[in-house]
Amino acid sequence: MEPRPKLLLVDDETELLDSLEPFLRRSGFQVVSALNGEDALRKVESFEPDLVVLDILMPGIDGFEVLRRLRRRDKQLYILMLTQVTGADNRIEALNAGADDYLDKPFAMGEVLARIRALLRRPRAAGPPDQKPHQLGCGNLFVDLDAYRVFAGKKELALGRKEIGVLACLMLHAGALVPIDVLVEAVWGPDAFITPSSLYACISRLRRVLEDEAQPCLIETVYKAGYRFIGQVEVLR
Amino acid sequence: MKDERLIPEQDWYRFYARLDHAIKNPLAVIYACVGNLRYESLSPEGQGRLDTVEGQLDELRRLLRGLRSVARLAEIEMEEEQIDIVDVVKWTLEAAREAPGAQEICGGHPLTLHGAEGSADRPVVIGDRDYLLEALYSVVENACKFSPPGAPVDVWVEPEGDWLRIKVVDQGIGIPDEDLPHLGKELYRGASVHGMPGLGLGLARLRVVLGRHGGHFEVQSKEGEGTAVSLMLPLASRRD
Repeated sequence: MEPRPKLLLVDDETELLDSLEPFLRRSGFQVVSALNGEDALRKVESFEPDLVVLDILMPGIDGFEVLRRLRRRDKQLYILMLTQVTGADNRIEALNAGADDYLDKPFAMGEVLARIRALLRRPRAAGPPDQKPHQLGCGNLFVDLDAYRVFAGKKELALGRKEIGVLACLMLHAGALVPIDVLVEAVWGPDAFITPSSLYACISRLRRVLEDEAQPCLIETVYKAGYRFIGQVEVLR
Repeated sequence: MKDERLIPEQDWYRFYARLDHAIKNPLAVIYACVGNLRYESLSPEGQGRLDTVEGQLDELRRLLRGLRSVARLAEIEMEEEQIDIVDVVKWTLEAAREAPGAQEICGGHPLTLHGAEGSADRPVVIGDRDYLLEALYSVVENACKFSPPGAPVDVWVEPEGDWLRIKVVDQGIGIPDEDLPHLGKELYRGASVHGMPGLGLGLARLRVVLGRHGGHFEVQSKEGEGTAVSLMLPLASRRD
């Protein structure tokens, strides 16, 4: 039998820990809790968790500082941040500081379980952290991800930033279904309150420009679920 | 982009943020308690009651997120670019006809754009194309939602002096006179739409988005005959 994954819960709300800890234990995890940042850093050393569920607002060392210290120590540890300050900047800061994912409070138990399990399934990159591709190609289509420009052969295509963002996101996940909410968040940012209607309009503009350049339907609609790039994508650099 | 008329509302937006923050932890604890109870051997009736508790929690959370979305729209960064508004209207109608999920509400309603399209001098406004599309889409979606199946929805694009009027006209259930002054207030829902899905935040979001563009909305309606919602935006020439 595989060992039960180890979770460290960090939150200064004892009521939440008292309820969340038994729930996660019954869901198949070994769980230890910490009520503040200092305690969390000590328990990471002694308990050696696979994943830390980390609240941001805490007295003393806050969640961001704990996150930064943990990342300096261990790049492989999964960290799920519990974001609770209203606004998107909080989440962007969490992701920039090295969190693997975030979950907005309040959350249903099904959601927290799904996020934890998804993170634990995610393979850790073994190489240096900057593995981000810079240029993508598909047939005569060429996307420069640094300059945010798209070319068909030598001709630059008249696409806006959002269209290029959508195209890049789909090409980076070529062959896979990219769900609507993931695309919206990747291109417009979290909490942008953009519905699928704007994404649809953006994809329609993109398709038309690509089809004008004799690129057949490279973007497939998966009804009600999302979109998929169906061309063969090469990472050029 | 800032609209002076929004400033008195900032206190409300801050209140939504505080409310959202204050309620988050208690809700998270209740969710966790429900999660624990799911592991108990409850009777089918007990499980059903838990489903009800969780359903109501979801509703409360949706409501808080909706209120926060109004507050966020008032402060979120928006683009300031020149926009050919006819293009925005066309994309909106195409999205309403064909976007995944849109057909359930808008399908079967003929959606038609009138005016301005053939004109050489197409109206231009300054703002954020995506948020204007969202604003117009919500009005078109409402027009379809509150109309009988197959009833047409017409959109008119008409410059009026320094302003641009985008008028969405439906032949739906209409809005009672007593509700008209309250449209756009957060969580306000007219008596005629009780029992229909919605939080009463769509027009509040519309008000904020238009306010961020220096605009506003106007509503004319007659019960049983239909509604005309106009999005009023300053033309780019006026803002120069």
